[in-house]
Amino acid sequence: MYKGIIYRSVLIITLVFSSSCGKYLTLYPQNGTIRQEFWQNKEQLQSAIIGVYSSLIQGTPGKSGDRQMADWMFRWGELRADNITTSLASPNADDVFMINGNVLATNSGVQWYSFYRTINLCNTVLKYAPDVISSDPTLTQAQLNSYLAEALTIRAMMYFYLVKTFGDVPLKLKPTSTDADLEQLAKTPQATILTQILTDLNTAEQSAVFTYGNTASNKGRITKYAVNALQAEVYLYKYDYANCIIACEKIRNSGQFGLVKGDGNFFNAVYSNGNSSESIFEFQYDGSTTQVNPFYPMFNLSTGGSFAAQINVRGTLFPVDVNDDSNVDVRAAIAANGGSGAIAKWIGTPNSNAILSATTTFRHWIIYRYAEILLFEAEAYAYTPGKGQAALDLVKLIQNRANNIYDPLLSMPVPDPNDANAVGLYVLDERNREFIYEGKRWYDLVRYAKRDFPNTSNILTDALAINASAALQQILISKYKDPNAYYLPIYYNEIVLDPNLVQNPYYK
Amino acid sequence: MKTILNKSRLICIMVLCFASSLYLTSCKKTIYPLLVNNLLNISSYIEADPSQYSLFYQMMVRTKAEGFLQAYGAYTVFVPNDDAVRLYMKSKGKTSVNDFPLDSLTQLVNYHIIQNDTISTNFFIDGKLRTPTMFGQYLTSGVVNVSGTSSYIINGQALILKSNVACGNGILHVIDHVLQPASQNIAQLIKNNPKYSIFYQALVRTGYYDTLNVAPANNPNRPGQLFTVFAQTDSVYLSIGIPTVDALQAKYSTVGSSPLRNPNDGFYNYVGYHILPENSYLTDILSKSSHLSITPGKDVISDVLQNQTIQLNYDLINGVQYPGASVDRQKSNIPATNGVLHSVAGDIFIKIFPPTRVDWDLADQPEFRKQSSIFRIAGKTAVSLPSPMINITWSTGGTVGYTCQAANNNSYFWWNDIITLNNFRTGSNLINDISFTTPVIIKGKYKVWICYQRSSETAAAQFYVDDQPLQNIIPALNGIYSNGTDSGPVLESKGIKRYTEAPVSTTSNAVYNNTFGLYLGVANITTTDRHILRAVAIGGNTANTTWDMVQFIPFDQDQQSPRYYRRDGTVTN
Repeated sequence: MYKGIIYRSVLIITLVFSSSCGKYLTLYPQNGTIRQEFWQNKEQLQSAIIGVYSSLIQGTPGKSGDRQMADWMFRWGELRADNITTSLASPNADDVFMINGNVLATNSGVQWYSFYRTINLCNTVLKYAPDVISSDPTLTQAQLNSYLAEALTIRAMMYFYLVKTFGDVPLKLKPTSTDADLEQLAKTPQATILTQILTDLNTAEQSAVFTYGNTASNKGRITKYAVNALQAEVYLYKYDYANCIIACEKIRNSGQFGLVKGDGNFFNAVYSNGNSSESIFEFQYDGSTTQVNPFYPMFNLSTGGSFAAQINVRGTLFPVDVNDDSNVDVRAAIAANGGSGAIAKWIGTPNSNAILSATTTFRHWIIYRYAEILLFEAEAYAYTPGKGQAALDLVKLIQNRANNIYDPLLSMPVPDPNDANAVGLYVLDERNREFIYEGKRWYDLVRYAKRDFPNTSNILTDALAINASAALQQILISKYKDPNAYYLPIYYNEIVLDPNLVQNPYYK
Repeated sequence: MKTILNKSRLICIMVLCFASSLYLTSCKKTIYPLLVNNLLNISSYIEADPSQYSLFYQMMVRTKAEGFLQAYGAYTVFVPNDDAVRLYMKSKGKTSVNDFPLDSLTQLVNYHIIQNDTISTNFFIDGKLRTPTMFGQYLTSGVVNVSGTSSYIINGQALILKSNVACGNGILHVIDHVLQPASQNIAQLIKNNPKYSIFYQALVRTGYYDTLNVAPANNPNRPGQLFTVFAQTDSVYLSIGIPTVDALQAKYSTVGSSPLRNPNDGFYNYVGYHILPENSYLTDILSKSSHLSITPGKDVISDVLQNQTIQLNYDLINGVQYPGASVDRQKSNIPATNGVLHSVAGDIFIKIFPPTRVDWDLADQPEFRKQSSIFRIAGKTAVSLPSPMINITWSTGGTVGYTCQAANNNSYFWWNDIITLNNFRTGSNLINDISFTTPVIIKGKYKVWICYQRSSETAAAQFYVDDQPLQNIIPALNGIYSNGTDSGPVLESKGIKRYTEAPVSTTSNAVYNNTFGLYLGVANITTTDRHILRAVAIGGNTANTTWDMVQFIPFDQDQQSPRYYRRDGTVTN
């Protein structure tokens, strides 16, 4: 009898334990959330989207050699162009090589890691967000779509930077959530990626919001206008001027943006404070320990900063009125400190030679502002028959706002409106002044050089020849007669890790 | 019973052990990768791909280069692929690597190898590579664009097909043609180029042909000497109205004077002025602002890069801008066994000037001049700059600033502006030692004056011109005393002069004004060129040192005239 009881109890205990086995052995992380528990409600969806934005203003945690995205955007958009010098105490060798247009696959300045990291975050949102609507009935389809529009646009922006910088790059549209998702991708042609970008932007445009109800979100998150701004640049990059004009007109007709007055408060309004009425999309740093922009160590010359303004920025690019000391281009002092050449836009202070400190450099990195929409449109008009005067009028708006100084020896004369090339060059010249050190110049030069290659390539080589070191000048000029040289090489480590990647053609 | 049980237990345990050992051994063995450098050495890399490099490998084996390129070291090797070598053999009428004499083959292979340096394309410049080949001659690099594709080119002979291949003992670049060393010396290059016929004859008449027609190793006077020659084509001479070498000689030589190795003959000097005793490709030319020629007077050729044009002798002398002659880049950088040949698209000749005074406003520095809202505008001060400036360098620490005095300021400077040395004195992180590059000074003997404003306490200074110390050590720069009635010559005898309209005033029994010129000594300027004026601080008194100008006045001229250097920039007596 006792035996029976023992046997039964053993049996029951065994049953109990064996049935609890499944849960007992599955261990979930105690300090994190797993995917199956996430993606349940719209609050989680929102935090996932904010996580995407947050990846734009932070370097990758624990990834050595990685930099903040604004740092990459500055390097790739400015170093090889004609406004930066590094004749300073101890410049980084790789930086000097890039400034000299002398880049190998081993240059630490060509890593695209951060961009794919953000792309993966966008892909994750795009894959899992649509499931939320089934578990959270308070999430409307329209809300969901606007979140998706944000992810689509940020992803498109990342890919656009990558194709502008590297040419053909791997295109990944699915998230990497498990080891099984790891793929060794080959490169996708630039044209295919641009088509994908435009498709995504058209989808995003349908559902992106006009406003989030507050200025900070309107300037720091993707709105319909940010989508249009990106569209305008992509179309311009494809030399599709009609569509560029359409995209620009959408923003201009919205009545939501205007040029900030070019007075003594201009520096403060547009750069120091950020989120100006002119701004369309910017990376917002708030100054907390994780949200300081990368510019202090880059530009503070007295603590070993690497980059300063070329000597001809003050005085030649921005001529001075020799008869009237108070008649100045408002952008000149913002571009660079006249004495030390420090890039005031990012670490200087208005009307002073003072430099921001390491903990106070949280100036926003501006991706698009209204002035650029006007100049995008001007550029598109330049090459649209019969619209030359419209282009010049738009340039005039920008010039008048900044109180540009015309110097008969140094400034470009106002061109004949019917001469498309001359008008285009005139726009390029004004873009250089308006967006100096905003990570645009190199891409502008390349866009001009490639438009009617090889006839227009001398625009690029002439600009670079002025500042190139004497020992490299002729090499540089011959080099940039090859359009493949406009693209950076793929970082050597990426090629080691992914045998399907082929190095870009110039870098054999 | 117990033992039986124990036995069966033992058996059980043994069986279990055996079973478990079966399981254990059947476990997959983890293979840990050995972390060693598995890069091939250069020889192995070349040997490993016989479809590409078999012929060059044969060359290496035959010349024993294969051995050392397999050993420890740091080499840069330019490897011609098989197509390249075949092309070369065909051009030489050979069918096999073994058909070449060993000597010449060794030289050829050595010309492809740079020892003790790994030069990646990052360090390819518009000129010679930084280290010579084992053969002894330098290689040149550049980039060419062939039908839309840009490639690095070596020696103007071979395109790089594959660059920066890292090997265990160096780096290699694959090239599409065999590199061939220069076989002619400069004299032969000029002789064999019919476009240089006038220049060739000029070399012969002056004897410089023999100077250039010698291998560096056999040079009796200057063993190992390499030369750089700026030759001028006949069409350049025609364009300045010189059709023959006789006309050229007549232009520079006095009648009856023999130009052959005659240091007093103008023609001999003219031809020598085209030859530099250095091996300078164009980038090397540009790396220094002037170069000494081989003439007896060591006359200087200056150079400057204007946008893309290299201008020689584009000089500003005494306020006059002389047009230069541009270098014809396409016909330049031609390597020779004893140097390099360039072509000038204009005439370069020695400019002869009598020694002429230089009034040198120290505040007129390019960094300050470009700040046109500050430069020479009353009451403006520029941000102080760290070393180096374009024309001023100093020991690390300290800054140099610029001030243009306010209109109502009680100071008297030429152009009303000064540089401020913050601070010039001994001690760390201060300006201990500062060097200025002067404007062009014509060769001759000069008295040197420093004109500045005294301040309460400053360090004393020893000045140097081109590292030759000037005779007078300037005492602590505040100690200027003189009798108020002293005339100019009396002051000059004390090594002092007044150079501004600053009024004389009396303080504590001393009569002085604030701005003085102090006599530094006589400098013997040997070349018409820009020179270095250097000041070394003595003593640690602290004050901002404000310097206005430096004068170089020919030693036999009146040192006090012109008397007034005014605040508006005018100079009068």
